[in-house]
Amino acid sequence: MFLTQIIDGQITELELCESCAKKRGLFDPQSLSFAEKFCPDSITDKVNDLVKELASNLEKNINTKSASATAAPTADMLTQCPVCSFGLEDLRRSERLGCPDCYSIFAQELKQIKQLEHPASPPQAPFVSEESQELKIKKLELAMSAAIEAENYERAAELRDEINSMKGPQ
Amino acid sequence: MKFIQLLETRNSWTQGRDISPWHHQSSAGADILMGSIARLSRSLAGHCFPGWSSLESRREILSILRPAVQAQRGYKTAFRVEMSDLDLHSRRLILERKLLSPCMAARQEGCEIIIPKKQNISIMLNEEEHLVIHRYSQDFECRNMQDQLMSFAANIEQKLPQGGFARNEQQGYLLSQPSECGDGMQFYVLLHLPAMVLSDMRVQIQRACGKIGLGIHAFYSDDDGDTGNIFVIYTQPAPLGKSQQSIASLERVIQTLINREAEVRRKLFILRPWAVRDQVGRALGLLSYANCLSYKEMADSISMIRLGISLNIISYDASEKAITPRLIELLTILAPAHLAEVTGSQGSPQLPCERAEQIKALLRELNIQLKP
Repeated sequence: MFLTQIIDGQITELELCESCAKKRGLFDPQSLSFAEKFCPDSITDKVNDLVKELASNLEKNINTKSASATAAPTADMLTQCPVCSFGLEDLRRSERLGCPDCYSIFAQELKQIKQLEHPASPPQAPFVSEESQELKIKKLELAMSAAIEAENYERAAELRDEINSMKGPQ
Repeated sequence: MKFIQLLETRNSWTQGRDISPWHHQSSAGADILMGSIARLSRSLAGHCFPGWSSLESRREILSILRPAVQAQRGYKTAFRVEMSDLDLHSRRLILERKLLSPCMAARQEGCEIIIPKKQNISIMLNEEEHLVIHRYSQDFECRNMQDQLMSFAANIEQKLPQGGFARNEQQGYLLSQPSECGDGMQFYVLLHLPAMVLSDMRVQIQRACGKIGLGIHAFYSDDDGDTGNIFVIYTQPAPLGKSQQSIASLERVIQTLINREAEVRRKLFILRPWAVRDQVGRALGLLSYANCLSYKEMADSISMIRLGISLNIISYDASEKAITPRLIELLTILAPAHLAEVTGSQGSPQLPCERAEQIKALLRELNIQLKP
C-alpha cells in the first residue's frame, strides 16, 4: 500500500505491505480518503505515529543486524532455502516446498498461511523443525562468508573448524 | 516381471475371478460399494521433493528407494519400469487399470513404478512425493490397509541407508505440500450410485461431501466426460494422529450413502417403475443392437444393467455366479487402450464397432434379458 500525504508542502510517503497496513487500520483506500477529507487532524496524527514507528523499527533492525553480522543466520533472515534454493516467492506462488528443510526455513510464512486458512484457530508458536545436518552446515557456511566479509577472521576460522568437524564423520 | 506378463495377469482388484464375498452377496449394498484405495506418501529427509528436484537428484532417490522396496518379500520379481521407458499407449493401459495416478502418468525420467503380480498394490517412486504407495481392496478395508501400508513403509524405512523419511514430532511426515503433512495417509472409496444420479442428486451429494471435508469425483471418465455412475469419495490427507478419525468419518458417510442409494432405488421402483424399466430397457437395447459403441455409452448402459439386476428386472444365465464382476470387468477390458491392445489397431475408427461386437457376444453368453 502506498500512502502519500502533503501537508503545507511537506510530502510524507509510506510504502507498507498489505498485512502491515491492515494491522495499522489502513485497510481501505477509499475510507482513508474519506477520513482525510472530513477528519484531517486524526489522519495526520495517524501518519505521524506511523512514521515514528517505522523509523524506530528501522533503527532496531539496523542494530540487530550489526550485532549478529557474524552469528549464524537465523531462519527468519533467509528468503531462500540454502539446501535446495527454493525461495519464499516460490512458496507463495505454488504453496509447495522444495525440500524437508524448507519447513524450518519458512516456518514463519507457513504459520501465517495456516492462520489465514484457519483464522478461528488459536495462535500457535512458530513451527520449529529439526534441522538436517546439511542445513546446519549450509547455515554455518553462510555465517562464515559473512564473517569474512566483516573481516572477522578469527570467527571465520572458528566456523570453518566447526564445519570441518561436522563434515568429518561423514 | 515383464509388461506383457502384467497385462496377461488379470487384475484381481477391478476385475478378474478373485472375487471377494461382497460380489457374491445379493443385497443392494453389495452392488453399491465397489472397493477402496489407501494412499501412503513419504519423502526422504535431506533430499529435494520430486517437483523441485533435478534429474540427478531423482536418480539418486531411485538408487536409494528401489533396493529398499525390492528387499521386501515378493518384490524382487515385481514388474518395474522407469516412466520414460513407457510409451503413451502403455501408460494408458496401466492408467485404465487404475494402477497409476494421473500425476505419475505424466512423469518422465527418474520416476519409476513397481507393481507386484497380484496387482493389489502399486508403488510409485518420485510421484508427488519420493514414495507413494496405493493399496487396493474390493471392500471397505481402510483400517486394515492402513496398518498394512504403515508396516510396509516401516520395513522399507529399515532398509534405507540413513536419514529415513522426513518427519518431526509436531507435523508428522513432511511432504511437498505443507497442508498434506501428518500421517501421510489418504483414503478413497468407490461407490456405484445410478439411482441417485437418475434422481438428480449428484450436486446434493457433492455439496454434502464438501461440507464435511470429503471430496468426490467420477471414477471412470473419457473425452466425453464422466461415465458409469461410479464415484470416488475421498478424505483429505490426514493430519498427525487423525487418520483413524478420518476413516471413521468416511465410514459413516459411506454407510449413509449406501443406505440412501438403496432407499432411492426402492423408492424409484415403487413410485416410477415404468421409468426405471424404460432406462434399463434402453440400456439393454443399446448394448444388444448398437453397431458402434462409445466407451461412455457402454459404461452408462452397464451401470443401468447393474441397476436392473439389483432391482430384479433383468434375468440372466443362472449358472453365472459372478455377473456383477463380469460386467465391471468390461469397463477395463473394453476401455480404449485395452481394446486397441487386443485388436492390435491403436486409434482405429473400428474400435467402437469391435467394442459393440464383444458386448453383444457377452450378452448372448450370459443370456441377459429384460423380465416381462
